[in-house]
Amino acid sequence: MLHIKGLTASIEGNQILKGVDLDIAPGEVHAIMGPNGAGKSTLSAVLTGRDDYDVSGTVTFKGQDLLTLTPEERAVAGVFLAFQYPIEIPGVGNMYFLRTAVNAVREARGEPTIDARSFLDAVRTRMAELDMDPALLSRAVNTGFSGGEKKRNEILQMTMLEPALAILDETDSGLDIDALRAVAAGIERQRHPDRSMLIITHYPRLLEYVRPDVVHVLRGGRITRSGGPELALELEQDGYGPATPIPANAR
Amino acid sequence: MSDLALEALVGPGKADHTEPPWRAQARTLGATWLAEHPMPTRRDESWRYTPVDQVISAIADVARPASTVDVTSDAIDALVGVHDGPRLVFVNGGFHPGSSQLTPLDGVDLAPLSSMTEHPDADAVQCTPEPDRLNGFTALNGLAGDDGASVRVRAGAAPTVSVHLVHVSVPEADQPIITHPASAIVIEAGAHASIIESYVAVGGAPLTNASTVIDVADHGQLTYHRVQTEPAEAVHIGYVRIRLAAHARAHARSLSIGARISRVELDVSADGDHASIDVEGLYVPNDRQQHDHVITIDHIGSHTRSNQRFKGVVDGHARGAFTGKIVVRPGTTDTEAHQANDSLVLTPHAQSDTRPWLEILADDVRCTHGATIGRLDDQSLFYLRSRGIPLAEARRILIDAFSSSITEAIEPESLRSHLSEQITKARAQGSP
Repeated sequence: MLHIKGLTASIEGNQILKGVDLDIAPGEVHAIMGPNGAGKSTLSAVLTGRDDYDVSGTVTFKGQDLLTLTPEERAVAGVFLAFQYPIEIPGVGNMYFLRTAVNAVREARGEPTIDARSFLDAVRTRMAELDMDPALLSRAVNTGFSGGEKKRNEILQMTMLEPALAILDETDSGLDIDALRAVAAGIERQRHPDRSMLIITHYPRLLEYVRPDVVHVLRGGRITRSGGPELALELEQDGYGPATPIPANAR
Repeated sequence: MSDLALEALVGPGKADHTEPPWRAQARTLGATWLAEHPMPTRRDESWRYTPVDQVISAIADVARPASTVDVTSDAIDALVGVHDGPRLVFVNGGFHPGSSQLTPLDGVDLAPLSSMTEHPDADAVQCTPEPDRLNGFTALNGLAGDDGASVRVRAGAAPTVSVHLVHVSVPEADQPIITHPASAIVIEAGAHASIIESYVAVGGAPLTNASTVIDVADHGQLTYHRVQTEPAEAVHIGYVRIRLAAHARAHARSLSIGARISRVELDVSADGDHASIDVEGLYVPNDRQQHDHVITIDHIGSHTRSNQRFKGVVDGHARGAFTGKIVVRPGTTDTEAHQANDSLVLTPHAQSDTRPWLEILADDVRCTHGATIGRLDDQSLFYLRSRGIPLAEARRILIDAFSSSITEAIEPESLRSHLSEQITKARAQGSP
């Protein structure tokens, strides 16, 4: 599904990613953990096509060179990012935004667009599953939403866009326990043999609800450790450990 | 300006002895003013952002239109939209009965100004501003005396549909023409009315020098839309005088969508105590268009309130400008005056000017003003694109969202949707 090799990224002369290697197979859920400033959000920005970074290395997604695609082409290819800080867009209705996005993606893929009625039915069902207030549909995108409402709105977009790769950037941050459960259940429902997920998180809390297949530690712009779900628990007890990669012969 | 030039502009021998007193008065007022004053230049503060030299040199090349051009009702429908209510159409400054719809409306007297001769209200017609508010263009308008509408909404009347006044220019062959439409609107005591004025042209590069004088009497309420969607080569100079008596309320919107050069001046005075005015506007110049709005709110009464909200979307090499003048007269109390101007500058070559101009000569005043000039927000653009929305559409969505706070409340709905089409069309024409 996703193959990252030697990925570096710098902004204004500061190198943030210093050679990331990562492979995610279809259906796998990977978690990337790491302290603040490790490069977690830079990784999600580079994968979704923010143009603020100087990037080298290769990223292949379903056989395509991802780094040459525009953000919208990446969405059409099946990449989705749940933003750490969802953007408020006053004056653009949430429902209009959702339908425009879904139909833009369908159109670009040569699929038929969805009429307003069927779309509304589908959105309402997904909103109920996420325990979201239906009134949020007629509001402007994220405008005046609470932190939890914004995060649920991200997951709602994910469920409507049905991506092949969902990147969830600190989706658990700022959520109370009820919101966390609702969001986690929403993510769990999206698990599918053809869908991979990359969960970026600072705290292992979300991983108690969404169990990853592989956990990576990102430190100083590199992946320094990888392991099974038990690694998340170990990190919770012992912290992130040394900043430099552990030499292979010492493992 | 020489007599010869004036004659070229207004046509020879129009001052005959059959014209009504108000017409003779407007003509004399205009002629006297022009004899004593020069035309405005960019050194005049309120003309600073209008390329007035270009307007005046364009005037030198124009002809007065023939009065016999024809245009179909369908063509006008396409230009101005179809809204419930009566419609008065003027083509090249002359009344055009063929495309007008003079359905009687309870409590509303509607006629071409030119017909106000023997009429009982003829003496009360005022189609030029007060002498101390004239400028070269409004004086020229008074002197030229083209036709326009006379609207009188009788005391206490509250028609449920809008009155639509349409001014169409139809240039002949390759010759640019100039028209000077003038209208007079009176909302009598306690009456409620909605009036739409549309300025359009059937192609070409016409010049329009329009003037509208509106009086709202005690407790009257007016919703007024002024819509300028002339072709991209047109030159438009517009003036609207609004006088508000005690407890009168007006909500005026000016939409400047077409024309190479457009300057619209809204000159409002809250004469009576407790008068209240909301003025909003949107200008969307692109390519090399230059759109200017000059607003004056003169707080003459006490307990008066005003609110100006203007937005500009400036694209290509265009220039957009807003001047918002607030005058609070000495001796008034409890005045509230607000002003906001936000503009979106879409290219490095586009330019936006904003100028608050406050003359506060009283103490008991709450006055605020604010202006922002910005680009499309990169983060919002990225967010939309990350959901699969192509760049061009993402930009359109954000631009529409920016203008929506001015356009979303426009009533009737038929006007709102017509404008939305016109704005989309105008913006598409100017894109590189």
